[in-house]
Amino acid sequence: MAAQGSLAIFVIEIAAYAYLMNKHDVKYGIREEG
Amino acid sequence: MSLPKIFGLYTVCFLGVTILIGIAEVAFGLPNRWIGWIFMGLSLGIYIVIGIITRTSNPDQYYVAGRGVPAVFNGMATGSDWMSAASFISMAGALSALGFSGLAYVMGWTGGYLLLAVFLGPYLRQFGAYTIPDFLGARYGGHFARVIGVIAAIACSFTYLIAQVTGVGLIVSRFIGLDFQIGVFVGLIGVLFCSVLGGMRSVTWTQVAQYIILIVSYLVPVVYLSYQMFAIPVPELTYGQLLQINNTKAIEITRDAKEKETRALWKKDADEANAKIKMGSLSDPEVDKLKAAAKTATQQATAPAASDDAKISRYLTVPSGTGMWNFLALTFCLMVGTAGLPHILTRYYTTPSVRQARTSVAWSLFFIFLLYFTAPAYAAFARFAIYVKLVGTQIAELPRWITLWQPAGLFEVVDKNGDGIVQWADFVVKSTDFVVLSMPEVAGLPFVITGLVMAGGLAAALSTADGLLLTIANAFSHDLYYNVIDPKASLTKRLTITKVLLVVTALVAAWVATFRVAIIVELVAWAFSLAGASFFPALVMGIWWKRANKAGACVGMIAGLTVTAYYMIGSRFYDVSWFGTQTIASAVFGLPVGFVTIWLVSLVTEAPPQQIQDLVASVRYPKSGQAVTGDPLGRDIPAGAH
Repeated sequence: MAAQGSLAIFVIEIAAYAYLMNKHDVKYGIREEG
Repeated sequence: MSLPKIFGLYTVCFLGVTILIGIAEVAFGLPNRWIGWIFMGLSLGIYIVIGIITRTSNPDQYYVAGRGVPAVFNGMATGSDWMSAASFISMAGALSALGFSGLAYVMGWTGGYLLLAVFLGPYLRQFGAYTIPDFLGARYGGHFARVIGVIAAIACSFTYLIAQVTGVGLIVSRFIGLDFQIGVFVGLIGVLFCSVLGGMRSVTWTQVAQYIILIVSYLVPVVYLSYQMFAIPVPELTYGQLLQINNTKAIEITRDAKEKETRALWKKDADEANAKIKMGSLSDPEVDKLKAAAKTATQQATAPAASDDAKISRYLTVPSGTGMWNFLALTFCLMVGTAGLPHILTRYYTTPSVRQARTSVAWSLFFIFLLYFTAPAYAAFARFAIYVKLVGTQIAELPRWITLWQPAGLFEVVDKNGDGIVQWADFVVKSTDFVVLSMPEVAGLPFVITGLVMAGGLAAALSTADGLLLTIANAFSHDLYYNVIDPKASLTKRLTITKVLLVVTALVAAWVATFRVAIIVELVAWAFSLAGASFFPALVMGIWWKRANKAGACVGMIAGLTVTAYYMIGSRFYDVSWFGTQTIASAVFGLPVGFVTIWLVSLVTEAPPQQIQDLVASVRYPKSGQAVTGDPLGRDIPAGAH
């Protein structure tokens, strides 16, 4: 079960990282079109 | 038609055809071998058609799929690129067998994507190269770093490729009854059609199609079983309950008098074999044979539980001392190895933007998660089926799946105490691969589901082979030939060389695979340490430290690789041992050496030119890279549509 938990946490961490970084791109005006 | 619609329709059609085959089996008695042939022909046919439809001669399309693969689809392609035959077939059984230490593999392989998302993926996309050695060559200047990158890429990828090709041969030979040697070459047809005709473009869309087959075939049997037992079609939710049932069953079995008698006989065999070994005066092959017999006998005498709580405690006991060091070292090496594997890193070159590259890493791990999250449920259902459907049955009336799979050599049923009844200790597991491969029959499902699982295993092996083959061929043709030997080579000549190399590499891998060399499986595990020690420090320092220069990177990569290779060979063959570290975790020494060497050598040598330092700064800002498409070195490459 610990293995399952670590997997789920990694997915959530990367998704949160991508979301927050993409938000920062918009905030600092460096977001791309694609 | 939009991509989601195309692949949605494809999934529906694939399921529809599977149902039709199922109806033909139940209603008209379609023979098993025919079902195997239909599934293999159908899946290879799909991959070949995609290869033909997406063929291209445009270099941007051929090397990086035109940098136009949306995040979700790149995530699916990366998922199937990453999940090899080993993940598909062996993961469930290995998790069940390894207990706590299996966690190192799960955490290492998936945690690597975290490193990839934060340190590498988006920045490599921003840089806009074609291959990983391309990045090393452009970032550090000159050919030396590129050539070291080529050598490391080939060293990591080739053994991995042989293992995949072996997997293809095994699946094809087991399911449709062809010879292994012929099966290997039949399977390669599917790989070559994609990679030769359309390079990364064809490989990408084939991998998406392969992911769909792979995940559907993995989930169907276990979802069905979960629904059958608990009326809930979500095995991830129900298998916890099943583990408790299994544990109660294991305790009951261990207390049974007949089981104790069988175990005692196995223990006697183990003691006798060990005594003969101690007597000496035996040849090496005889000793090896006795050691193997003693190991099997000991395993049968103790599994699954020597005492009432042993099964549980095995899963809960956290290792200490050297055990914990090895656990952490292995997790670390698999993480950096995953983040450094060139065929995975290259996938993030194919997204339209840095933003999509980031999102794509999240999707990649999500799609991998779907399979890994389900793997332990497989193991639990398989164990339950054996406790309930096998233990206690008459030897003369074994279930159909036993008679069907026993010849494959994955397990054996022996009547140790000669009472004509199967005890748990009579079931000798030779390969935990049986958990996934025989699950449909264990569950009493029709053979069409077995065919589906075969198609999934084939998809997993072929998709990884696709990515590896392309990485090796591009390393030779693009990095070595075009960038080092003949920079003036025409586009036609470059692509022709790539295609010829794809065929040659595939044939060499298939030829090597036919020898069935046992060391290959071990070498695959080593690939992670090699990739981690060679690429990871040079890539991370190249992106995050402007001062890292050519001398530092070259010496650092060589030092990291040398230390890792020294410990690998030394610990495996010459009893070298540093802190009791296992061979598979050799990069735990090589990687820090690589980082420190790059840092020290860069500091004592000349700083990189200002132009390179500006380039390093620019890769951190997504918008600055909008114009970075095509050749990062700024050479004018004519783009021709196919």
